Order: sequence, then structure tokens, then C-alpha cells
Amino acid sequence: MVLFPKFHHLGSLLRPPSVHCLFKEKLCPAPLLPSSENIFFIYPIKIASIQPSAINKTLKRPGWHRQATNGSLGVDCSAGHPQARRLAWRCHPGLLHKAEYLQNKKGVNMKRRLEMKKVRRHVIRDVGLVILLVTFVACEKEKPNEASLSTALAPFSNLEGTLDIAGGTAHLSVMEEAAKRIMTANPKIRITVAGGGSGVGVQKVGEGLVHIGNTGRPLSDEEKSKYGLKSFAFAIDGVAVAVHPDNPVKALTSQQVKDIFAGTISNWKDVGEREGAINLYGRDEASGTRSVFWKKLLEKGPVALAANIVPSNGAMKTALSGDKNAIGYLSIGHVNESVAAVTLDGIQASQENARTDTYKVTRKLYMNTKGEPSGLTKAFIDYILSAEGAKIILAKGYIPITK
Amino acid sequence: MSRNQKILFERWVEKALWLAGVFSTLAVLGILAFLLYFCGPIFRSSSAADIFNWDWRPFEGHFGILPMIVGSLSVSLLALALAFPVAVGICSFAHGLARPWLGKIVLGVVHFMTSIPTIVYAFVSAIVLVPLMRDLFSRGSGFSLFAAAIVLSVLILPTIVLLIHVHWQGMKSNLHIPCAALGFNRSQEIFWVLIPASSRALAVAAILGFGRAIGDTMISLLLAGNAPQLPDSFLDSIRTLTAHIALVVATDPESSAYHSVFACGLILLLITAVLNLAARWLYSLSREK
Repeated sequence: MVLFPKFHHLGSLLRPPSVHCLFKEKLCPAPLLPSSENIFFIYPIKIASIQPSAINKTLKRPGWHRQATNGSLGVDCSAGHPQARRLAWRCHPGLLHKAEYLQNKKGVNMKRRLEMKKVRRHVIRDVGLVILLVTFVACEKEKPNEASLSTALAPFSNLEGTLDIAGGTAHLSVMEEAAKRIMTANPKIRITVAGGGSGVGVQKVGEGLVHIGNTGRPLSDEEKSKYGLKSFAFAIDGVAVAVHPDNPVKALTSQQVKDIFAGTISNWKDVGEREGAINLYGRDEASGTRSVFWKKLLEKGPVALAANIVPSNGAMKTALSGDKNAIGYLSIGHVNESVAAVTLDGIQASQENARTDTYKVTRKLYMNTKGEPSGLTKAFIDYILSAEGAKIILAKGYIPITK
Repeated sequence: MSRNQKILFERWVEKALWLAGVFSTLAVLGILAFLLYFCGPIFRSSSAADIFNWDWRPFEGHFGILPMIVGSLSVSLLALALAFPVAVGICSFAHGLARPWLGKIVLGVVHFMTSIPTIVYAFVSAIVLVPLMRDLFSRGSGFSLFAAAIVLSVLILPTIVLLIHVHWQGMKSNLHIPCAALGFNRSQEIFWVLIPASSRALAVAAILGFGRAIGDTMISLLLAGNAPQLPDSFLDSIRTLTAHIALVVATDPESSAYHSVFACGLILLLITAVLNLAARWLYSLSREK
């Protein structure tokens, strides 16, 4: 029980009260006993085990007395000791009338205070209701804007329903832009676009949970035969090795990249003049970006276990842009001024070089459907593969593949 | 409503509640059964040894999940070690060390904390805390065991505080009077009476907080770094079981990597079940006394 026997001098908190042994046993459950008119004994206590010094200390407090009959301690509630009075009330509210107590304390009529509180509550409720009503009315008035239909969007004009898209995170920007244009042209169509990675894309479309599942890698033969999927390649995307924009290292050889990701080069000093431990960032096991990077650049070489794993291209960009010692890889379409793509064996990682096949670490982006697409799904795929779709793909930093 | 109608209504309510209870029990048992069923292939064949080893390199045929188990346990224990003393401190503050109105405000804030979604904690910390950790410790990338544990401790703090608070509320009316009668001051009362007398309830609160920490996904996924390795220090990147499931569940359903997800799920469920049972057992002990 005595936790800190040596630290008694540290103050009252650490000093064990000398009566502590009392609390090992069940505390006596006796009711409150008023013993006389003037003195109220708060709690009768067996004091056999209490050290005399503690009792004497307590008795020095204002209002405290010792009961003659059984030796228990008590407090005088009536003799004008405000502290004791307050304590007694807190212990047993029935002793002193609550309203009387509060009135004495603050000089305010308790009844009036309660009424005021009620009024205030009503006012708050009414104001809240009015605000709610006004918001509803305001929302009702807003009507969706009618947009002019372009020729590419014409096939959507007599379609309606929902289209769900999920999968690869490199595809997101293109899908969202296309969805936005279609939904503005025809408000009856709802298109949802979710990420998750290439693996999620295959699973969801295969299980029929979404209409289009995106992948950043070609489907494996098992996936194709198991679910009966049909692929539509719509863009070429490169995977760039990227670092923080402030990193002076602007060029690496493929061998250096391999060594860095294998963990054999672990300091920026080995590939440039700046000192600093290299922080590796990789993608999750289901990522198409990871799969392309690993196959085409690392040539299925080892990857250090210490690499941080992030779950999307966007998260990779955030991680790289915040860490001066970072190196990672991401879709070229996601590269902007917040990260710096590294020149690889003297070749700039750009979509231009990817198109001419000078930059080798590329992959196609696919939309996959279960079986032959029809209706809204078909219209969407045709739109992505149309000239207007190609413009969106170019604007988002990828190279379109048209029919 | 006549008396007969009332009785009839009562019966319907009773039946509805009974159904709800049976349904939730069946749901939990069903989840357990499904997990066991999907884990079957792993435990029957020799691949159990593949899954219970220290090496996770799925593309080279190593599917060990032990690093994730260690990661989960270490991050939750650290979070608990950070959150528990703070929680006891907050409860002591609210139960007498502070003025009553101030204590009420503090408890109100803690109540509010329970309603913050974990993704908000994770996202804000990924932007604010992680760079701070990186600059402060000049080791690692900031995505680390320690960063995740700090945020997890904030997450489980309200759980622990509210459990202790409820227990102390019940005890205080019994203990405050004798303590006052004996001349204890507030700090002495809390330190020498309230805390020792509620030791079991504190343990229960700690266990439930630990369970919440081990079950959380978003925070460890976004902050712990997800490297499937054994940590050498607090500043190393680790992967927890929950984050592992989130990362691997999207892989090809035929692969061994995918099967290991079910083993992870089963282990998580078993850990939380054992923790909950322990908490219940301790709580019933404290009630009997």
C-alpha cells in the first residue's frame, strides 16, 4: 500500500495519510446519524486503526469535533463554518435545502433563475428551427445548371441510371473529369468514381460490384478466365522515379535505382554530394504502378523491407513532397511541381519520351468490364476512347490510345 | 392503452429485443466461422509454417505475418502507455482537483473527442506530426511506430477517460465523505483512496483502450509507414495487422498473400475477443468485492 516510502518530503500528495489502513477493509456503510441539534456527525468511523496524529490534525480544521460516545469524528454544520456547511451539503443534499443553500450563497432567487433558463432554452430552440427552415428553402431554390451538349456527349442524352467505377489510382483524374462532364450534360446519370488500386479494380468488376474496374496492368490469364473480363486500353502512362523538388540529385542510372531500392545504397552521399539517409517509399502489393516498376525497372530485383508503403499515387505524391530525403515512384500523370521526376539513364521521364518508346518504364491503363459492355457502360467507354476523351487524357498528363 | 394491450406490447418489445440479441450473437459467430473456414487451407496444409514466420516478401514466396503481429502489439502497447497516465490524470483533474465547472468542460471536450473520425486524426497527423517527427529526430522518414502510437493514444484517450469517469462517479459518493471526515485533501483522496480502490476498473479501462488501439486501421495505415519489418527503435516504420489487411486484401484472390489476410483477421478477432473476455472477468471480480 505504501507506494513511495522514501519520498515523504515531496509533499502532501506523496505522503501516505496515516489512516490508509482503514481502506483495505470495506468502508462502514452506516447511515448518517444526527446526534444532536447543533452538531451533525457526518460519518461514524471506527478509529481503532487511525493514528492519533491524523485525528488531531483533522480536529484542527474549522468545525470538526469528536463525538464523545463512540469517538468518531464529525463536523458542526450549524455554527457558521461555511466550509463545513458546504461539505455537509455536498455529502448529503437532504440535510440542507438546496434552494435555500443556493439562495444564501448567491443571493439570487433560485426559482427565478430556473425560469430564466427555461426561457433561454426555448429561444435557442426557436432560432435553430428558423435557421434550419431557411437553409431548406435556400437549397430548394438552387436548380442544376443546364449545360450545352457537345457532340461527343450526345449518346448520353437519352440514357439514365448509375455507373460505378473503381480501381487503379492513376486513372482517377481522367475518370473524374469525364464523369463530371457527362453528369453536367445529363443530370439523370450518376457516375461514381473510386480508387483502391488495380487489384480492387479486378475484384470489384469481377464480382459485379462495379461496372468498370480499372487496372494499371494487363490482366493475368487466370483473372480473365475466372471472371470473363474484357479489357479496353485507353492510355499509356509512364512510371517515374521521383524525389523531393529540393533534392539536388536530378539524374540516376537504373543500376543506382536498383541499389537504392534494394537497400545497398542507403545514403544520398553515394549518388550525389548531399549527406542524408535515403527514405524509401513503395506501393502496396496490389498496385499496378508497383508491378510495372518492379518488373521493368528493378527487373524483379529485391526491395528493402524498410521501405514505407503508401496505398495510392496521390499518397505517394504527398509523401514525397513532404520528405526531403525521400525517393519513390509514381505515375507520370501525377508528377507536378510538388515532386521532381529523376532523369533515368539520361532519359527524361516524360509522356513525350514514353510515347516515342525512349522511356521504357511504361504501361497501358485499362478499363475492364465483365463481358461485353452495353448501355451506359458502353457509352462511357466510347466517350473515353473518343476525340474528346483523348483531350481529357492529354490534359491530365497521359498519352491517349484511340480506336 | 388498456392493460391487456400494454402486456401485448411488452411481449412484442421483448421478442424484438430477443431477436436483436440473437441476431448480433449469430453475426459474431458467423464471422468467426467464416474466418475459420477460409483459414482452413492454411492450417491444414504445411503452409501454416509459411505464414507464421518473420519474412514478408510476397513476390519471392515468403508470406510471414509475425512482423505484423509484433507491429500491432507494440504500437498498441506504446499508445496505451502514453494514454493511460494522461487519462488517469484527466479523471483526477475532473474529479476534484479542478473546480467543478472546469472539470465539466474538460469532460465535455473528452466526450467530443469520441466523435472525431479516425481518418481526420490520421490525415491531420500525416500533414503536421510526421514532418515534425522527421525534423525532430533526424532518423527515419517520420512515418513510424512512435508517430502512430502518439495519435492512437489520442484516439483511445476518451475511451479510457470515460470508463474511469463512470466508475469513479459511482464510487465517489461512498468514498468522499469518509475521506473528508478523515481530513484528506483532494489529491490525497484521489491518490490514496480512489485509485487503489478502483484498480480493477482501471485495468478494465486499459484493456478496452488497448483493444480499440489494436483494432484501428486508418491511423496505422497512414502513419506507421507499413514496412513489414521488425522495428529496431520507436522511429522505425512498422506494419500493423489491420493495415496489412487493408493493403493486401486487393491482391489476386488465388494468391497465398490473399490467404494470409484471413489468418490476420482471425488473429485480430482472437486478440480482441480475449481482451474483451479479460475485461469482463476483471469487471465481474470488481463487482463482487
